[in-house]
Amino acid sequence: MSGTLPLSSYIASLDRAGLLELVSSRRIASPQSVNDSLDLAQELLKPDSIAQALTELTRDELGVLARNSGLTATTNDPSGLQRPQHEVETLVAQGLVSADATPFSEVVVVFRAVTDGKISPSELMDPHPETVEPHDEAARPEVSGWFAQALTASAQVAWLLRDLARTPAKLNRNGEVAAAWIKGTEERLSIPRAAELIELVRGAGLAGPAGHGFVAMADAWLVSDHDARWIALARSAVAQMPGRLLDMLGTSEATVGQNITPALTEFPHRFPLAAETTLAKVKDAASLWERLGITVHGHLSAGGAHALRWPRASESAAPLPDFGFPARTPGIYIQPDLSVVVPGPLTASNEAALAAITLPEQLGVASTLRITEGSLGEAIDRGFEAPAIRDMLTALTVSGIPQPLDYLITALGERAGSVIVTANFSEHGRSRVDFASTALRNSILVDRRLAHLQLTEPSGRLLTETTIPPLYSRLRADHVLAALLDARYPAKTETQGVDDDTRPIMLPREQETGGADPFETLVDRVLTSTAESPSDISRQITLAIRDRSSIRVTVEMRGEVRDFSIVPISLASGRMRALDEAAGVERTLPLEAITAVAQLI
Amino acid sequence: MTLGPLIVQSDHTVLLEVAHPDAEDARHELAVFAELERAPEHIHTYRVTRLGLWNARAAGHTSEEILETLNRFAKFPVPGGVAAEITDTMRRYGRLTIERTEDGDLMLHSDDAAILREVSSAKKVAPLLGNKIDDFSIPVEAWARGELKQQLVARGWPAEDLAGYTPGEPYGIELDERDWSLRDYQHKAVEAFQRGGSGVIVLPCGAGKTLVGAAAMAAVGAKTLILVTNAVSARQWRDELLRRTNLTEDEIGEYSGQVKEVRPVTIATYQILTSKRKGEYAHLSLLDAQDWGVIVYDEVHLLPAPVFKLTADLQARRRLGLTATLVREDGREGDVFSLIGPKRYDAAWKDIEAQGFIAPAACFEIRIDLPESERLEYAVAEDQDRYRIASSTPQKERIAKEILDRHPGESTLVIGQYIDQLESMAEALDAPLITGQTPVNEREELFQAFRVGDVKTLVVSKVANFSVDLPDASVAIQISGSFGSRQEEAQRLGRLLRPKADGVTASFYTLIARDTVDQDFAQNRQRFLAEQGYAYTIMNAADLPDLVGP
Repeated sequence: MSGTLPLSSYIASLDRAGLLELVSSRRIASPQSVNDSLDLAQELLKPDSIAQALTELTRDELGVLARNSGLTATTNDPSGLQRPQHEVETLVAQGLVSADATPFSEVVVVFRAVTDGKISPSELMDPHPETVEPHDEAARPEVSGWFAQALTASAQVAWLLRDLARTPAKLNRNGEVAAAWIKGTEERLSIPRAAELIELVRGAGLAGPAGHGFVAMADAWLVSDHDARWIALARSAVAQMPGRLLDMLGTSEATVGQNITPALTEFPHRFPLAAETTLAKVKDAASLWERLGITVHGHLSAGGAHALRWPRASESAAPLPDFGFPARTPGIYIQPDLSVVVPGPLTASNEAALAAITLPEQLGVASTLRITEGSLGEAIDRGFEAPAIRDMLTALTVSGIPQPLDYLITALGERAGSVIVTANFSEHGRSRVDFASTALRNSILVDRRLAHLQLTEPSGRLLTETTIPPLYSRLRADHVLAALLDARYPAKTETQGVDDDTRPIMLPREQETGGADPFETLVDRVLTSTAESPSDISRQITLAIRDRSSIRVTVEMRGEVRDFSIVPISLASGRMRALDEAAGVERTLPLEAITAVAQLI
Repeated sequence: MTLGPLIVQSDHTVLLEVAHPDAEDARHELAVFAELERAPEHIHTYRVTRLGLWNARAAGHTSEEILETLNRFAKFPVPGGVAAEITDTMRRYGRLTIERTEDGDLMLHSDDAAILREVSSAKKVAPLLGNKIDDFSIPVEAWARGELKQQLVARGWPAEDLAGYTPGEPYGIELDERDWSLRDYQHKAVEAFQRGGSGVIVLPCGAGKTLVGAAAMAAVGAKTLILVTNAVSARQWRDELLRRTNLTEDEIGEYSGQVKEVRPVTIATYQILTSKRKGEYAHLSLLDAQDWGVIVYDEVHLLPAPVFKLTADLQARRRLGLTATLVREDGREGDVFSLIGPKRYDAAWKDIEAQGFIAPAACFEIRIDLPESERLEYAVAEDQDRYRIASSTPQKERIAKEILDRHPGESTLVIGQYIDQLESMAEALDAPLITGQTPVNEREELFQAFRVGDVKTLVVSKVANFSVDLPDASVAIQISGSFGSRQEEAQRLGRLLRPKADGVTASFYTLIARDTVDQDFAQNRQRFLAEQGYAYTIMNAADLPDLVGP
């Protein structure tokens, strides 16, 4: 039996919540094209959508589907159907079987194809085909040190987001963050597996694509306390775990020390048709949970249990519990080798100030950062004044400022601005370079490393003794500046405090995703169409003609209402021609007189 | 939380707060299982490595002891992942053993058949083994002991090598301690070597590595082969052994380009060992010329790659590596571990300095502005020429003179990379020049004149980087170097670290052309010493008179 009409009827009977649950649990290739329940039924009965739905069924549910599809021996039920209530309810809610548990023909075809060679229907009958290894609860690890993972991951995310705020990441053709950028960032910021964190911040809404780049949208997050930062990341990480696995964990009752490993191990057995991508997603999410300290060697931490329970209404609005993160450190150590050791958490503002002039070497509860001429030079170029840097470090350090650092701050501060690069909008080029000394100008003009800038001096310009003529480049000012800095010239841009001005314009998240949730709008359209026209009669008849299936039509003519069980043959010029097999006649009924259509089994 | 001096990080680093009252105790216990990575002024960084844990396990320590140490001294709770990995890592050591059968054959053994099956089926391990005896024992090819250990370490199942060492032909070597005695740290280093059988001793330049080598030879009491970097170094080893042991000239042979003597104690150069004739190593027979009981690798960080391969075949003999900087610019520290042995003893430079056994040193980086003409020459130069142009600037001659003026009467080395620069510098300073082309005898004469104070300033090329005994040098001016080489920087500073009779602080100057690659390379060069706690004072050349007192 084709499922289009019965599924359409079922969809039409759903309330908003039921409909939303259905569409959000199933793959719909083109939600924009769904206008009514029939469209939706057709979408849900496409092979891809069915195949995806099957991957999310439990072994028990697949067993019922196998039996009722006739793939295995049937039960004692006279109808041959198996009807365990819970499994059937799930299958109906997933739009895979009719209300009496009969699988739709489209589902049977796909089910056969999907299971062929992968798992035998008889295997599905055995609820426990393999013994899951027992887990030694006595070997439960100590989870109290989870904050080390939590603070390390939070610090890594903070560095990543600050970096994105300065310079957006490049996107590749698929709209994903370019692999080369990820690799470079891992090396530059000493952050392993940065791709994992990119997905995390994307999921948490802390960064996302805008224009041609991937940008940070995390101003509020970056100034939050450590516990608030962490919980935002943890919730995003929880959301990355497939819902079915979260169900297995019983998230609303999650407890500290709870071992999630049995659920991870059992998942492939419980969902035997789960796609490789889903299994990979489980694995990736478990790894991320470990990284964030949601779990410690597979056991939920205090923060992890809280993050899992969070969607429960009573907790979502409650203030965060005390996670027991270490107290803020009273100060930092600046060492003569220009390494900076931060022996514990800092306030967000101090952390940001320090991040502006350092590069991370190792991030953790205590972090090791490094100040280099390059990092100091960049900070000065971004508008930080040398005295302000010295004051900030003086206020933070418990070990004083070592001489080499003091020298660098002074020297770089004095020399900053000897070469100034500004954007330019004239026929000479897109950027202009001014100099504090002729020697610098002459050197830059002949420097091989800067040949690609094609720096030129405008012809016909009158030179005076008091001014050093500028040079122009056809390249953008930021390119010119970067090249000059790379070549160790004391260059800077003219604008001070450029951070805010140069930050890319970011699209609000709604715009980026095309407005409201597509599922919500789809549900609205289906509900509206159902309310306006309970059944799209002509389309149902057309489907019945295509499937050569029997339907019952209700006809109202001249004040009289009659039902006919017919097999429709054609529909043209506002009339339906159909075979009434019971009466042995062919009937022609005006479409406008038909008030209802129902599928006959 | 104990608010102790340690912070144990989830990446297995351990930070030690030096000023903490418990820091010394913590440092002492950490040294058992963690590697010191950096020792700047305030916070030292250690790393808990698999090799360190296995070394500790080999020395009889347990994971419970190590975790107890960390918990006792930690400021924050030890991350669960670190504790679990320490336990797991230490559990792996000794599950496999290499033993010698009564017939003298080598056997890989395990009480766990699954582990033995896992490692023996690995592609790179299988060829090193013979046919399985039973589920618990597999013969090891006689030549494969070293490589097998390398492979097993790489697979995370380090074998406990119980096969012992070839004792070598006994030979009575004794220290002659009539007017001197081994220092405490030298005793510890020798004891650590004796316990392990093979391994590397890391001590700062001037801290008496040669004496440690001599003491190790005496402890083994067998014929010894000593491999050194060059002929001058070979002669210095010979002189030191004659002075500090009961060995006589007849008992010590030199095997180098000039002389080919094989005696109970033979000193050979790496160069002669790796020299080829018609594509073959011509002097390999030296390795089997005597039944050596121990092979000493001086300056093991410079061990040439071919010697690694040769060393893999020498696993039955005790091996002792000596170095000041276990930093290989080619990144082959792992090979040193596998084939010479683990680091058995390592002393922080500043610790030895604090004990008064090496001289304190002040390091200066002097930044020099290139004049416009040189700046332009530098700007138009090809990349490969830039370092030479920048580091060879004639401006350095004037600054070197100023520095010499600030240290009148002090013995000073001027060290550089480029011969033409050195020649010009020698002329400008009116000082003798020693390069690789200087005949050995002339070189030794100049060194001797320098030692006795007849020559106050020597200009030297990189030939003086290693194993040159210059006891009275108290000032060094580095004018150019092998690009960013950290170990070269350390070795050059090491020329100054022998304790001074008057206790003065040595001065180590590096002259840098500002805003050039010279400056970039200098930063890299300084990393090792900065991590050892040496602070570089940076100054402008123009400020030199103000900052360097006469």
